[in-house]
Amino acid sequence: MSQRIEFKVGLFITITTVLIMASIGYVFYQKGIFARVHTYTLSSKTGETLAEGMPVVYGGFTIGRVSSLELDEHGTVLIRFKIPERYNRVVRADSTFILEKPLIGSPRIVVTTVNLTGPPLSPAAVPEITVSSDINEIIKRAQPIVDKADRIMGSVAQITENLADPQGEMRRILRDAQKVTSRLSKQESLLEMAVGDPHSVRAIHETLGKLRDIATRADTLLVAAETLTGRTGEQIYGQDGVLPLVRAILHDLQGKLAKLNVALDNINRISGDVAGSTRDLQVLRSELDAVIIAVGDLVAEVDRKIPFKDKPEIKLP
Amino acid sequence: MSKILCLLVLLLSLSGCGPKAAPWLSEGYQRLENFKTDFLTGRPAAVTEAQFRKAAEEIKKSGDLDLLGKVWLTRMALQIAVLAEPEEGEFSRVDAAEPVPANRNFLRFLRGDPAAEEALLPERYRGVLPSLRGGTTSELSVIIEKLDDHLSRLIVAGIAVRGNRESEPLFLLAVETASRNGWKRALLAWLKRLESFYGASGEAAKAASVRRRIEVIAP
Repeated sequence: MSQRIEFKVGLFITITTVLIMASIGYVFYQKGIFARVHTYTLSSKTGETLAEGMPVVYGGFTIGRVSSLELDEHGTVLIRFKIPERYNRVVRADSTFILEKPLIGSPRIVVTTVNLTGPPLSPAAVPEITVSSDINEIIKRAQPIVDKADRIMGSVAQITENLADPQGEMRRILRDAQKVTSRLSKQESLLEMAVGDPHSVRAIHETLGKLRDIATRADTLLVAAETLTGRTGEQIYGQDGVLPLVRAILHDLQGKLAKLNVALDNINRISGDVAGSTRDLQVLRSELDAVIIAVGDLVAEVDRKIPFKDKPEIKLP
Repeated sequence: MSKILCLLVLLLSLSGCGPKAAPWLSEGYQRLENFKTDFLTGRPAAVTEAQFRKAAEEIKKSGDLDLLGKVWLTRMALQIAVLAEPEEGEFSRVDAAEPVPANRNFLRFLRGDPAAEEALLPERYRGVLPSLRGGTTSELSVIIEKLDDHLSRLIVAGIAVRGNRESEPLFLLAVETASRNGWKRALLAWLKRLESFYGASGEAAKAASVRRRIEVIAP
């Protein structure tokens, strides 16, 4: 009787053990533990951020993991990773391997294969891994902006104060520019110049001096405005902001100066025989050229510094 | 960390300013600009191609085949600028689906095709076309130097070389342009071509000097 009970207990233990082993075996089978695994090697100049167990990803799916890291005799890091048989079809000879270091999340090796029917990657081949570091890229591209951000803190108060102040630099520039443009637009001064009136020549010299002064002060203000952001940015860069207004005035100045330049050429031709007047006009001409260049540069600078003024436009290179 | 925080705050506040472009356009434009820089500076092909693919994908979202054609033409133009063989990629498919005369004309211009029409070219290239077709090589160099856009200079110089309009001033101008902008890939390509040019002209000393320069800066 006791022998039958012992037999039953033995049978129970045996069956239970077999079932447990079978379950474990089934789980292992499903997990691909017994599947054939392919081992490949990549090389990298640095082992930074590389780690054993790092996922190898294709099309967003983890297809394998880094199994070991080694340093060879040349100082190159060798990265071995294992890919189960069922995913091996995506690793081809023309596959590229990019070590992605995303801003958020863990680093991973991304496999990109254009031609899935191409020849398989030889286990003896050691392609080099390419590093794509989102965070480094962002920091590198953003560094100039970060530097500007540092300057913003120092200049916001100064600029806003300046904009609000009726006697401030920006208001003064606008007043001066309006004065000069209206003066330049008067035909009388040109006519007086044509007849060689020295007062008129002197007046133009003063006007040019004033223009140069405007250009210098506007340039100083641009340097400060460049670092402005936030609510005051709208006041500066917005459609009705101060910078577009300055830009329009400078364009106007540029146009009028160009006309003045042509007029001077004509005057030079007309009054070529009047020695004194000609000398004055030649000096004036060279000064005018210098101012035209300065204002032109300033306009280009304003155009460059007004951010988000246009929609990005994709053009032929 | 504080810098990144500062950057994020700055980006958020800046995003509130000014008129907004459609996300596909902003992203496509930015990716294309990144592609240009990465390509010319010689970043790994996998990275530059990823930037290009992303730019094309973003433009595809809009279905704007004119812009998509321009993206592909930009790629070809850059290949010519670094003296590589231009690959049309998907341009033919895009052009077949929606022909854009200006794009097709620009392709002719890049190929050095005499059928390219001056009037359909972007304005900066219009004055260059007659010199590319005729005139002396020294005149051509002077005209190219007058181009304000440095990338356009390299593109035209590349077209000139493909049309056997090589000259020392042209090579020196291209080298200087690539050097000043830090476009290492373009610089190396033009230096190598300059070395071959000196070698073929029997100017061994100059060729050796260029070779030494290449050896110092090559990866």
